[in-house]
Order: sequence, then C-alpha cells, then structure tokens
Amino acid sequence: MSVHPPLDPAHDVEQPAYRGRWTRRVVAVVGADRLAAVGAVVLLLIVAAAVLAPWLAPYPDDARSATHSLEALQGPSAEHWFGTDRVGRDVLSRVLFGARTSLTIAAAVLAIAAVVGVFLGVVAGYAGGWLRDVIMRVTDVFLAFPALLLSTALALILGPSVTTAIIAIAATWWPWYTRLSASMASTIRGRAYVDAARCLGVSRGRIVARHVLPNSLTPVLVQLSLDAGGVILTAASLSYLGLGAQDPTAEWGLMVQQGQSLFSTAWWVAAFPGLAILVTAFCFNVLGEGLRDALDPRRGNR
Amino acid sequence: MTPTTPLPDLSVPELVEVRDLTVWYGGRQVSSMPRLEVRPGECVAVVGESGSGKSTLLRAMLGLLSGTPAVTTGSVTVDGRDVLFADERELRDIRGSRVALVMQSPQGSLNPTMRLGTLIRRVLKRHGVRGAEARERIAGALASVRLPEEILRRYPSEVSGGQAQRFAIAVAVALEVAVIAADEPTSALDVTVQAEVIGVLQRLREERGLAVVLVSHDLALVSTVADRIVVMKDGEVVDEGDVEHVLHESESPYTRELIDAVPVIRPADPEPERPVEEEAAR
Amino acid sequence: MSEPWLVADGLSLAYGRTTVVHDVDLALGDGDTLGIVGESGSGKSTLARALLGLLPPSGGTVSFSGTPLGRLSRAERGEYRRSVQPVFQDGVETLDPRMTIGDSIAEGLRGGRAARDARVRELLADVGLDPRSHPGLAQRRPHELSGGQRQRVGIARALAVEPRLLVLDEPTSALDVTVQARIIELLDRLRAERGLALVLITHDLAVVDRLCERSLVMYDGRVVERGRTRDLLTRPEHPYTRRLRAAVPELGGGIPEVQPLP
Repeated sequence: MSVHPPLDPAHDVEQPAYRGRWTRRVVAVVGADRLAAVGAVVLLLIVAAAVLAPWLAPYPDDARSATHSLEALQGPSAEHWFGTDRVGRDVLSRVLFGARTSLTIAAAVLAIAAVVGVFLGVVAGYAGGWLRDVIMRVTDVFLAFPALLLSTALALILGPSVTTAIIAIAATWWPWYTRLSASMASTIRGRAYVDAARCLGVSRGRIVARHVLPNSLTPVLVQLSLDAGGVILTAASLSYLGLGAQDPTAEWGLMVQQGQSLFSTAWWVAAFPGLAILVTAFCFNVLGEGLRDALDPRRGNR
Repeated sequence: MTPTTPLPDLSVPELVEVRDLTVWYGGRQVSSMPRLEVRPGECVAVVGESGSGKSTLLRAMLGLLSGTPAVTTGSVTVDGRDVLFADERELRDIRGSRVALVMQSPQGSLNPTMRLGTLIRRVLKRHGVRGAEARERIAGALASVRLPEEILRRYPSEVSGGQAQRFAIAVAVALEVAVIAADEPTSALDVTVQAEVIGVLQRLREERGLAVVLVSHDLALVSTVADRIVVMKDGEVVDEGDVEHVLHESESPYTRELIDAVPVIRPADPEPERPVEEEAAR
Repeated sequence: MSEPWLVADGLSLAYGRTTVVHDVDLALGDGDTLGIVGESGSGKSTLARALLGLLPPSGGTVSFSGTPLGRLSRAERGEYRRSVQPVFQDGVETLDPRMTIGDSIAEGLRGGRAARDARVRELLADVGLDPRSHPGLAQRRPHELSGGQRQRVGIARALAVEPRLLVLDEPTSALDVTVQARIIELLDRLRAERGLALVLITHDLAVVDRLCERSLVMYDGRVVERGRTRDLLTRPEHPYTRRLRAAVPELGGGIPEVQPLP
C-alpha cells in the first residue's frame, strides 16, 4: 500500500550532480516550505529518540520482557508520562523503543524494495525487448494485488514476526521502484550522451553504472522519502492484525491493537503509539513532498 | 522576386509606437528600444542572437510582461492605447483586436483537445464575432493563408508544423488585427516550409495592409520580407535602418559580424569557354 | 576518392514496422567529406545512427573494412568504434549533466589519471578551449557552459580516441549564427590538420557547401540525388533538390518561391 503514487517519470529529468547547488537548493526550498522544514525537524527528533532510546527511556526493560502487573493501567503521571499498559509497562519507554522498530522496518523495507526494484527496473528499461516485457509483466502482476492482502498472505505463510513484516511489505513495495526506474532508464538510454558512450565502446554495464543509475537517483530518493510514511503505516497495520511484531516487542501498531479494547477506560495505551504513527508518517510525507518540489526540474535554476 | 509593398505612408498614424522602452529582469537590463514605429503595411524585423532581448521586446509590446517580475519603463502604445501598464481587461481587448501573437511553436499554443474549427470559432466569439460573420471571416482568413477549409475538422496533432503555423496566422487574420507580432515563427520549421510561411506574411501585407513585427535570429530570411531591420545585442539596439542600409551600408561592427557569419551558398563558377562535357554517370 | 572503408550497401532501416530509410548506398574513405541533406522525416539522422553502429539494418548492410558490422570480431569492433565517432546537435543531452567536462571528454580514454588529464588538456586546446585561457573548465559541468562551448567539448570527446571519421548530426543547428560560423571553422581546420573524414547531416545547404565535397539529398527515406556538392547546389536536377535549393533565402534577396510538391 503506497500512500503516494510514484512520481510521473515523464517529468523526471536527471539533475546536475553539482552537490553544492543541490544541497543549497534543498535547504532553500525546505526553508521556504515551512511545513517541510517542521517535518524535517520533528523527524530528526524522532530518529534521535529512536537512536537514543536505551538512554532516554525511563524504564528500558519495559520495552523488552519486564512486566509489572501491580502497576497496570495507570494514567499519565510524573513517574509514567504516558501511563502504563495492561501489564504495567511504561508506555513512554515502549513508544521510544517502538520508534526503533518502526524506523528499522521502514529502512529495511525500503532498502530491499529500492535495491531489488531499481535493479530490475534498470535492466528492463535499458535492455528493452523481451527482457523488459517479462520484467514488466511480473511487476504488473505484483501491482495488481492489493498490498495489504499480499502482505497478509505472506505473513500468514511465514509466521508472524518483525522479519516477516519486513519481507512481506518489501514484496509489495518493489514494483513501484521497478516502474519508476524502468521509465527513467528507458528515457536516459535515448539520450545523446549514452549514444556517445556506446560509440566510445563503453560496455553496457559501465553505461548503466556511470550514466543510467546516477541520473535516475533523484526521483528514486524522493520516492523513498514519500514512501517511508506509508511503510510505517503498513507495518503498523500488519502488527495490528497480529501478523508483524509479536509481544513483548515494542511496536506501535501492536501497541495500538493491545490498547484498542481499553480505549474507553485507559485511552493512553493506544493513543500515544497511535499518535506516534500519525506524526511520523505525516512528517515523512511532508518532507517527501518538500523534497520533490525542491528537486522538481521545472522549478528552474536557483 | 522583390516584395512589392506600399511605401510607409507617414501621414497615417503609427499602429505601434515604442518610446524609451527598457526592461529589467533580476536587476539586469535585458531589453531596450529607444524608438520604434510600425505603420500599417510595414514589416519591421528585430534580429539578434540568444540573449539579445528581442523576444522580451515583443512581449513588452504585447503587454505580456505585466504581472511578471520584469520591470519596464518607457511607453508602448498600440493604436494610441498604452499597453505597458494597462490592466488585464484592456490588454485582452487590445490583444486579439489590434495585435495578435504568433509564436515559434505553433502546436504549443493550440489546445490539443480541440478541433481547429472549434478553436477559431471560440476565439472569435470571445471577441464578439459570431455566426455568419464568423464563418465569413474564417473562410476569408483560410484563403489568405492558403489552407483548405477541411482543416477545420482536424486536431492540432493531425497537421504539420507549417500548417499549424499558417493556422495561427489565420486566427490573427480572422480577428482582423492590424498588427501581427511573430516571435521566431519559422525557426521550428523546415526550410521549404519557412518560405511558405514568410510568403503568407508577405501576402497579408499586400492584400490586407497588415503590419508585421518579426523577431528572428535568421537575418537572411527576414531580409527577404522586412522593410526595416533592428539589430539587437545584449539587450541594446545596436543598429537600425531599412534593409538596404543595414545589409550594405551599416557601420555597426556587430551587424557586419552577423552578416559575415551567415553561411551562404557560393554562386556558381562562371561558365568555362569550352563547352561543358557531359558529366560521367555518378 | 580514397579506398572506402565504411560502406553502406542497399541499407534499409526501420523503427518497429515502419521503414524510414530505403535502400541507401554510400562509401566513405579517409579524408572524404560527405553531406547528407534533407528536411525532417527524410531519414538522415536515422542513417547517421546506422553508420555509427547504433541501429542495426533492417535490410542491406553497413560494412567496416569489408565486414558487416554485425559480424565484426571483438577486436575489429573495437577498431570500428575508435574509427567512427559522433558529434550530436547541441542540447542538454549531448553531455551527461552529472559528469564534469573533463570526465566526459576522457570517457573513451584508458590509462592512469595523470595521462588522461594531460590528454584532456590537449584536446581542450585543440578545440579552442585552451585550459590556459579557460582555467578550471574541465571541472565544470555542462550547464555552466555556453552552447558553443558544449559543442566544442562534444567534438573533443569524439577526437579523444583519434577517429578517422566524424559523423556530425546537425552540429550547429542549435547555435547562434556567429557561434555556428566559428564551429564550422573549427571543423574545417580539424579536417585539414588530421585528415579526418566527415559525414555532415544537416538541412542547411550553405553549411554543406562550405564543408562537404560531395553530398546526398534525402527525401522520405530515399536518396533522390547525389554528387559533387557544388553541382547539386548550382545545377540541381531532381525536383526536390531544386525545391530545396530555391527555398534558401538570400541575404537581401527576394522571398523564396517554393512550388508545392507534385
């Protein structure tokens, strides 16, 4: 399930790798786009929280296997800012560790999806012919499945766990990257500098590595940031369905599911993880859109 | 064939008058025109290379710069009406009744989802011309540009570049404008088609007394149809005069440089005294 | 004409099911200069791609030193690639926007960094972009250069492998006329200095007049006339050649009269 459809490849043009300009442009636009800037900052905080969770969390053991039945379902207080859950675990600590889980899942999924997807896409786009047809057909088949359904099916087969969630989600996500990079590769293949390279005797592999991949990077990067939010939501959904992370692992979706039935009496158990999911996904989206606008070639040179 | 055009009648007021026009963009002067007058039936060509400011000049003359970050000073009047600082409503009135713009890429200005006939009727309707009068004007306009009536049934993607360009001119003719402002109208066209389009503009001058302001980088092409040439470089006018003067008597070094740079086909060698032998089969 | 080593024989070319070039013959040897003249849709650019080995024939052959391109051995293929180099119309696509000028020029070169850098400097000087008068150019990226400069860089890249033949596809059409004149001079000089053969694809008759000893005129995928350029331009025989010639405006002349095609 992709929250954002892939960028229209027809509008994607390779960007000059003039790094100074690139970062300056991004900073300039993110600066102008307040929302993206705010999103970026919040995201940085979330990442920091995830990295520093073992030190920031007041009760780090609660995120693992500790339980304290005597302190169950206590509301937010000085000792437990986010209250405690059904087995007395500090919700704040679990939310912080949950950030680790979610971000790790997102990173792993996107890494797999991007590597597999871009590889297949570039091969398809550059080689053309029957190879392209085969790859794109397979891609279409995967795209035809509703992502959640496919993830669910895979998770059922593989048995629920964080690893399963990663594999299942990655399996539904890679086709978008294949489509995107196939289109880019096909376009770039027609460019005069690729013809020139061919005439200079540069091998196909080197052409792909030196010309096609670097010039395809930008839209892929933008797509990655747009997708991160969606992946997190999907992972949470899977856990919510019981197919992803399992107790006692701290994972936001799982925590929401665990707190759902208690919502009327102990709202904090589901509310805080739920809020975390929302905020993180939102920030990724907003940042992704800011990046996309920043790198949109139609903006012209700034 | 030298163009037979009526000499400019100085007793007739100018259609377009430019005085002390300067255009700045981003703090730099990008175009300027101290003085320019265009009378009915005249063809004035503005020639220059990229960055000369010639296209900006045309846009200023059509009031297309208002609302953009460009800063303009001076005055441009069309039929006595100010164009530089007029508001959008006045401008829309002027554009399409007195002046029309023809651009380099004809297909760019034509809505791809509309048949050409629909398009031209809509434009006429927007300027208050409908029904029988519209049909008459359209027929007359198509005849002037030598396009068949059946072209009205086609979509922009179904006509060639040259036909599209002639159609754009036909729209201007149907609107009965007095001035056609053309920005590189032939640059995207094949050589043989360029000649057709220029021929159309020339005919319109002769038959309908239209004035033409022609912006182009192609000095040779404009020299065949223009009465006067203005040469621009880096936002300034560096030379001006009638075609004869600019081509043969100009003292401006840049004009000479432009002329020298134009690649020409060398004339045939003079006939040898002995009869030419039949060329061996190639 | 010297011994031809790049020969097209009954060459036909197609994109998918549509044939765009029909049955073309031509032969090129060292030092030859051939113009391929035509308007859009004539197939001239497609023909250029075939000569460069970028498009396989749908009929007929392109042969290098007697062997069809498709049957060259690996070593022969390498030699062919080095012998025939392209120069494209300037545009955003001629040079990889992410690579520095120096890297683009050196793309066909082998050897160590120092040797390649030295060669790049030499080549830049050869095309009129001497590093001493244009310091730091090799580190710049294409968007920082003017059209004329980019075109010179494209030429330098082609010259790097020391080709025998340059295939130029509308090399000056996108340039200002003063810049065009200088590029044409450069090409003429390089041809004379290095004994380069040139195939110049263009719609501009005056440019072929300047650079090409012989020319072909193409229309709708076929060669309609061929011969010495001077003869084609002063005594054209085929109606299309006549039409093309008549359409060229003369400075200060009359509006070109163009008859509609039969």
